Amino acid sequence: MTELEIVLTVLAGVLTGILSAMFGGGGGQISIPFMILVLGLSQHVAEGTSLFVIVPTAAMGAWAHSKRGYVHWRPAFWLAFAGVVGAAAGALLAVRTDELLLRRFYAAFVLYAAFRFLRPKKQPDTTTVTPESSIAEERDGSGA
Amino acid sequence: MPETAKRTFSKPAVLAVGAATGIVSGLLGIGGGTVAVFGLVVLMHWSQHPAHATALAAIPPIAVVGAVVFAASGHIEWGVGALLIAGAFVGAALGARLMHRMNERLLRRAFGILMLAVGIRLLLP
Repeated sequence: MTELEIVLTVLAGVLTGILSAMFGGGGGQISIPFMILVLGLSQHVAEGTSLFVIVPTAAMGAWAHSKRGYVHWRPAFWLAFAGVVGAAAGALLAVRTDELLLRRFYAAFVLYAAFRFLRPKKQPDTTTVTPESSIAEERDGSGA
Repeated sequence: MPETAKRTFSKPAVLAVGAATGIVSGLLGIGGGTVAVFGLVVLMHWSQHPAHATALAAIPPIAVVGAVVFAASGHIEWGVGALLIAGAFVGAALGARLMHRMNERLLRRAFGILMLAVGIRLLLP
């Protein structure tokens, strides 16, 4: 590695850490393209290295969040417990599934998530209350 | 931390979200934190901040499973990983501080934009 590559890699790491800690994940979105496009690693090695990086990075981010009281440890433990079982099953299944198809499914999920998070949230107080509906509410006591 | 009335900590739901996170992580070789955040916020009605932090806390053991699989087949570049981690430690402290300063609405939007970017990148050849 050249000195420039070393500096760029550490900087890519900083961005990876920022994304990961801010969003609870997503660090691979920086590190994987960086390793492929800048360092010339293969997709597979970039993915493996990204997973290796995620382990201490997520732990560091979680520790920083926990100091501010944001981590709910009991649900986190059960998420991790089921997650480890799921990850082992997923890794076994991955060998005999079409990766391109998987990526398309995941892309569809992610785009649906984007839609759910970006659409304006329905505010109950901005719904128009017609005289009829408010009278109806008073009548059945639900408006109190 | 803002509490919402509908927020749930139900164990079966947490286990289901965790299992989905793990399966996606294992299948695709990713951390899967965004799947956990989606589950906690959309399905379990958590607010953004604790969802991001709690998802992140669950990721290390899940990512270890995938990392071991890649390591076993020699697909980890350890030196590059160590450099990325050196930067990521600084970044994670910064990112946690940034999240703390963002309000719920902004954090929700930013997460949505990240998902949009991820989705577009996945569809690119």
